[in-house]
Amino acid sequence: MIEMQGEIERKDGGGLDEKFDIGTLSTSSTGSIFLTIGYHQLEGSRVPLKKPFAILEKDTSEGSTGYQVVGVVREKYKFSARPRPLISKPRA
Amino acid sequence: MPSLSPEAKRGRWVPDGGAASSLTTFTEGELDDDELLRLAAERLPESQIAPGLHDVTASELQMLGDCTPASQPDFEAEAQELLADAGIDATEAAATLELAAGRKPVHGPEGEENLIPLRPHIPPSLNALDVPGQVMPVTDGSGKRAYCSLEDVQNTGQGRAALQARSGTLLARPYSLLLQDIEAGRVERARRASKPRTLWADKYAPTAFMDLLSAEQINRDVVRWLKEWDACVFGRAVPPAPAARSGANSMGPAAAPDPLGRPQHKIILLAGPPGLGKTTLAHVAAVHCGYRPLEINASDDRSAGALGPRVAAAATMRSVLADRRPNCIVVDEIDGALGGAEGAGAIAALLRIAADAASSDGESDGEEHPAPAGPEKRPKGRGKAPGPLLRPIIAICNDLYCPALRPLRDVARVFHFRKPTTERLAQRLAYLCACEGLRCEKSTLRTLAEMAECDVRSCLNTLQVAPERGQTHVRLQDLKGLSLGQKDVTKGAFTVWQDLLQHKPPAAIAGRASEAPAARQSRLLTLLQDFGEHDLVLSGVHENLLSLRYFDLACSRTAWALFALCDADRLLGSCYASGSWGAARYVPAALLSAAGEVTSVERPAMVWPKSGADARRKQAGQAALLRAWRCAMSPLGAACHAPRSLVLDIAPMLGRVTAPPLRPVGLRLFSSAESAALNQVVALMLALGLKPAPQVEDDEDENADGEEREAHQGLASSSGRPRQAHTLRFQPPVHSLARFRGQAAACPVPSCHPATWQTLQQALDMEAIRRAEAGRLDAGDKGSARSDAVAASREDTPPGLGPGPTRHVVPLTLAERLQLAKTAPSAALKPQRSMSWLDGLKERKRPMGRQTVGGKDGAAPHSVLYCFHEGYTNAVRRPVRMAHLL
Repeated sequence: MIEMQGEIERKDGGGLDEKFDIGTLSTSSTGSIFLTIGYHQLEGSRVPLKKPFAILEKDTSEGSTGYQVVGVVREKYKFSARPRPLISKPRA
Repeated sequence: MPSLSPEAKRGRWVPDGGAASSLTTFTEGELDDDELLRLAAERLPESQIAPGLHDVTASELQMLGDCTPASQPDFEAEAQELLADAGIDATEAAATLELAAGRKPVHGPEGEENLIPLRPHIPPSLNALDVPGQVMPVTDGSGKRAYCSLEDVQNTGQGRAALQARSGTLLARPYSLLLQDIEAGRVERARRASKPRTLWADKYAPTAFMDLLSAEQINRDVVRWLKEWDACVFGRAVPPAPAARSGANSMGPAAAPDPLGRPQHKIILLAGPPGLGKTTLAHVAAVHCGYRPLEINASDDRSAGALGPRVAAAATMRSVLADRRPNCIVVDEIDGALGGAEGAGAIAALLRIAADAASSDGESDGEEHPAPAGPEKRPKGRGKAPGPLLRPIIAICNDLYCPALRPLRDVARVFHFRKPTTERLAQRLAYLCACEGLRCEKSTLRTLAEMAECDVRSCLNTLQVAPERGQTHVRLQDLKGLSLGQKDVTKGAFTVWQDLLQHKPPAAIAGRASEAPAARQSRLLTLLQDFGEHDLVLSGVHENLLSLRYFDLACSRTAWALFALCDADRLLGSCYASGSWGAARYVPAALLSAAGEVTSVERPAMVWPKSGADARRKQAGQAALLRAWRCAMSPLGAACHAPRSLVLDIAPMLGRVTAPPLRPVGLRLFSSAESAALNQVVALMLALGLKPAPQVEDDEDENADGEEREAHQGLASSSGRPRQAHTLRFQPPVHSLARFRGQAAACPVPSCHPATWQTLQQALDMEAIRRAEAGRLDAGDKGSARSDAVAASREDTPPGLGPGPTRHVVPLTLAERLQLAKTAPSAALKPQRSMSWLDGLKERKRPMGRQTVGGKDGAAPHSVLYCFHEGYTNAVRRPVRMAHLL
């Protein structure tokens, strides 16, 4: 799970509910996490959640509504700092 | 060519024109060679004689005249041929020949007696026996020989004498005698030139102490000072100063005695105009006291490096020659040693020598002088360091007060030479004239002494010219128009002013020639032109003009003098303005006419001109103030008022118009009229960019304000109000623009109560803030780069506080506007400058972004962007403007 203080805008006209490529998530050897969105690089950290989240999938196929646990999120990537602009030639 | 009459053909010369008077008649045989030649040349006008003819006629005519050949026709033909060759007309040649042959007896023109007694014609003959009397053989070019009779000597002499007396063209004395005369003259001149000639100034220079022409007291003091060295130099007791005279010598007694027995002052300085015998006095006194005067001319050895060692050497060494007297150093023309650092160094070198002497315990000053120390002295310093000064030094200068001499003046004892009286100088000159055998009246000598300004040397040199010219008597008129050669004297400004403004009365001496006005004018004109610093003279005359005492009815002379000074000032001003100094030559005339009006007999008390500089400084300050004021004004105000009108129209009235008639009550208690007046004053002061200055009870201004202050106090006390009354002052202190010293005020400023003043100040501040706010809002309206919050806040501004009519004035002062104007073009220029990397990035990105907006290719470099939210608080934030608070 990724938590960040800000919004993601799509410039190519697509909606946010569609599936699209946000950016690149990378870790460094020092343990910090970098998320690169556009020309912004966000530095964040990995924070364990106090209460784990369960990812449920709604299942209405068999007449009755049922929820199926797809996965459990026990930690999150938190990006709260001001993003750092990247000065480089954008990747093609 | 003159045509010859038939008479001429017969041998009679009838000249045409003016030759008649000089014409004489000759018989043949009485003409000798020269005369014949002269005649022939005379007879043919110069223009007709061909070049080279003189030679021909000289040889041929001589022959013709002296011999008449026996074969007459042959000879004539031959001669004619010769003459024709020489280009002479045949007829004339015939006439010449006839005359030359003297065939016919010739008589003078009618009315003229015969000068030369006629003699029977004896033709030359081929046979010597045919000729009576003495004969002379003559051989012509072809070898023919003829014999001519010779005239006897007496006859010839008579004729020549008569001819000479007649014509007057020949020499009165024989040529040989003349040559002898010339030779004798040369010999005489050479003899006179070789005679050793000395200037009288040297020849009659005083050699004994009693002959000195300078003032007795100075002579005695100098000698006494030299005698004080005796203990040091000669090792004998100093003669005690007579008590009666010690008053003049009063510097001495209190001083501690020198361990080496030297006088207190090591150097004396003789100062005075040239030609008064300073050098002479120094030499004579030195010799009188048993020294050998050693003159060092400081004009020659100007630099410290040259003068110092020479003095040091002279002070420590002595001559190895016969003259074994100790040296007395005479440094002549020491004011010639000035001129920049070099001259100062020379003086310093001299002082160091003297100061060394003063410290007197051979402290070596570390400087290596090339002069070795004298063997007889034992300075404690090792090596070559000079010991204490053991010889007297006499320095001589013309201008005592030249800057380079200042340090020397403090150390040395100074003797001022005064000019000898005309009477005394004239006596001396009369004595000299008697010695030289020159006759000269006493009054003439007196005039001469006056003309030379009592310069003895100049007088003597002038007198000496007379015998050189061969005169034995000098008269008064000889001196007229004689420009005396004087040494260059630099005159100070004070001297020039005094000369200009003081008309010296003619002296009581009978023989003295009082200066004619014209002569005085021309002398002063020369003086002014020589002095050259016209502006200094001008300001000096202007400064001292009103303190002079001259007879002036209805101020007409003062007015005239001031007019003339104005002229001079204008001329100078045009010179300064244009940079060409052509007009500067007319300045002395204007100055002279100004000074001529106000000259007085008594000696004026001169002061150095200061007011001009003061006024200039003040003017510069006020101009700067005015500029600052204009910059602080609103642009409209600055545009409407020229600086001149600001000064003349606005500044004097400012005190009155900015003092509103307000009661000292609160702002809310004002009547409508009062508040209108207050608003008006506030608007005015804002437009003029003025702020009321903080009031200081004790004026920090100088006493220029004192009188004004007094006046105000008087005003306040008379109106019964105590001292709390304030006059309005402004932040750029423009009130001082219209304030003049001695004048109370151009327009009496009503005092205003402190409360009123505070009210005014408050109202002014508020209005200023209001306007600034309005201006800012206006600028925000125009500028596009404003955030929405500002726009939103503007919408909810209350309409009552809306922009006033003055809102359009965005830059409030001229200075701001200037700044704006300065930055605007630079802002426009900005994109043209080399772009930073960020600009470059943006430029490159922008078109690509636009392309990708249309097509959904996803080829955009960053289709997903991140927008960071900085966070917010829940506090209520509303934009509040100053206008809301006012």
